[in-house]
Amino acid sequence: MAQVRLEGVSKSFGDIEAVSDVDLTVEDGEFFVLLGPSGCGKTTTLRMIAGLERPSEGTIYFDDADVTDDEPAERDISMVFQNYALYPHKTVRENLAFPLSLSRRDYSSEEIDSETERVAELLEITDQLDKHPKNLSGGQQQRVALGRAMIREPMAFLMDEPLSNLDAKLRIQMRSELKRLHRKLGVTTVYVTHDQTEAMSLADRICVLNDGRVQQVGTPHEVFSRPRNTWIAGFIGDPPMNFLHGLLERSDGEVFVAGDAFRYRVPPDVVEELDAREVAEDVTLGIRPRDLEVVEDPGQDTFPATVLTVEPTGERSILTAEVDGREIKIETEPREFMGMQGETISVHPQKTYYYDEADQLATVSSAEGDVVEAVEVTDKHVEEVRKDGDT
Amino acid sequence: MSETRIYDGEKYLVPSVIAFIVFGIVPVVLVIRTSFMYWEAFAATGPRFIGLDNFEQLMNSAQYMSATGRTLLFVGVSLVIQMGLGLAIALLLDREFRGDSVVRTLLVLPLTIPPISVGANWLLLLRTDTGLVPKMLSNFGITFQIGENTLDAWVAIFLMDAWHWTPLIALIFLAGLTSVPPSLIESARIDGANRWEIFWHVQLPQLKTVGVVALLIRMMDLFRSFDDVWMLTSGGPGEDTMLLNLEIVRIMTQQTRYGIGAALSLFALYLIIILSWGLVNMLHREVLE
Ligand SMILES: Nc1ncnc2c1ncn2[C@@H]1O[C@H](COP(=O)(O)OP(=O)(O)OP(=O)(O)O)[C@@H](O)[C@H]1O
Ligand SMILES: [Mg+2]
Repeated sequence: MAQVRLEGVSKSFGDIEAVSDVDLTVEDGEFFVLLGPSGCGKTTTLRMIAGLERPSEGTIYFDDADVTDDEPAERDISMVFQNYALYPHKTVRENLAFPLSLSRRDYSSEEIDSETERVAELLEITDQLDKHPKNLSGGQQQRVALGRAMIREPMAFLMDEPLSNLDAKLRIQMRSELKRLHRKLGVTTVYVTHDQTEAMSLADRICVLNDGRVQQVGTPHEVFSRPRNTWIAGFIGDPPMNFLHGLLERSDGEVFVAGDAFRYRVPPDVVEELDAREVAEDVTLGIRPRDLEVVEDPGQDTFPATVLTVEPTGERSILTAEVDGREIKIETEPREFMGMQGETISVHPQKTYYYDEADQLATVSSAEGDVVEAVEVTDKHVEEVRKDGDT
Repeated sequence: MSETRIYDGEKYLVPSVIAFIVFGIVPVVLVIRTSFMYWEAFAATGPRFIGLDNFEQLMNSAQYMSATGRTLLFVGVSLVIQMGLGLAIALLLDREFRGDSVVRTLLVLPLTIPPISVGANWLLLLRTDTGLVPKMLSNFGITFQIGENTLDAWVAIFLMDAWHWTPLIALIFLAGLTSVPPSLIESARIDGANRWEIFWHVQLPQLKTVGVVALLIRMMDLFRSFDDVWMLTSGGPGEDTMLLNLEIVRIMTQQTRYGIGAALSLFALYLIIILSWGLVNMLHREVLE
């Protein structure tokens, strides 16, 4: 096991810069997730860590050893590919045993057999050992791929969207299985995904990438509750965060954010922070749909919003409404707002995020601990679905 | 306006069906009929049916069975050389390098030359009196005489055919290698496999199907070889490189013994059918597995 460190790593393919100046440290034993939209350079970053791609610039360290120019085999890592990359002509047993049977490792055939059995048991695929990969379900194939990665004790596991080919239910089940295996083995893991729920539920820490650049590194809670710029804020959370542009107005010791059609009184704790950071006039106000509450009476801490559509989704309804010429989403109880299209309502944000002119997070209003709750819900949800899947 | 019929195309097939019957079926039927006849152009008696006598005669003929043996030798050795060399070339070309497309294009060129020209060129190159190769070899004290030395004649035939057709095998294997998912190879590299282990455990098993196809195509074609060998050695020295096809042509055109010639042609056909059938079966098992 090892710490993995990238220093100033860039990668260009011709004119395209796929990864730009990435600095990262993955701690020993950590479950580290690279998260970002399609084409942001996640796979390229992972492949550079694996040694399948050579960085155009920068250095990669495993612990304190510079491995930038090492071949993949010399790095002693194992990788799970998105398409699993199982050898179609080999049985499951042969696939699992493959890394140990190579000439660079001295394993006796008894050792190989017992290791294969051990991994097969760990992943509950003992029954499948003599089948060929194409006769396995997606979930079973995925376990074989994991097993082949785990049969050695590598410095690090690298995984490129290993769950993306599974159906939703199996994905959630395998997610918690991965987490369990990681707790058990404690091997440094770098995991690539574009699925934020997956990232949130698996990661010790998340690195959010966009356009080949690191946007933010932090625990799932940090990234969710203090997204450093509006791009991250809009990327993490579903439905995405709403943004309203306004100017700061000060009167009688109170501070307002004012747009053309709203004037919102900033909570006192935020005012202090905004002053302390000397935030200029222009601000972007961020509010998550789940933090918006529809209230009876308009007031200084509400916005007027015109309801455009109501989408009931069972547990909750999503209202799309217009504020100050922009569309916003509001999550509400389902029964509240049927048939309200076209009406103007008052919404009260329970929690607000403030971004300055340079698109940096200035402060977040303190509100009910809904974020922590959100993460816990995700985890509980995973456990529940897992139980469902087991029975 | 009349209703559009989906099967309107049928009538356009009529000319080619007629052509197929006239040029495909009829000759075969005629050959089969002839093979049961005693029929020699200059014989005292005219053509008459003799049942399986022709076949009996050729099975008992040392001359025809040697020709069969030579053909099997020619096909077998050529297949080994060409499959091995073709795979090696494919492995060498299965990477990006400067001018890779030029090399691949050059590789196709021999395939475009008709066998008769290939034979003529190799003859000019290898002729004992004026050929470039024997002259150069003689500088090293080596005599190379395709007209006198049996081994030299065989070497010449194998080289000529390999030169002409190995590129085809190489191209087929190259296509096969290109279709091996890169992640399989990358995964093996990460797991610590060396170049040989990657080839043996990952690439080669994926080449089985195309390999059998290449083998099948090449085998059938090798059995059909005539013009280039005829041009190069004409079956000599003596009869040492006399393949079945050369023998058949000699029987039919020089000796004008049509009955036995037809029987020998059919015998060659059965041989190809049986061997191909074995390979096709292998292919089916491969695909079904
Ligand atoms: N071999 C290559 N040659 C040229 N461009 C490449 C190559 N590999 C990646 N790229 C480019 O680099 C950028 C990043 O690609 P990468 O595969 O790392 O994205 P990703 O974040 O993994 O996306 P996805 O979620 O779709 O897998 C893309 O614009 C891609 O087109
Ligand atoms: Mg990717």
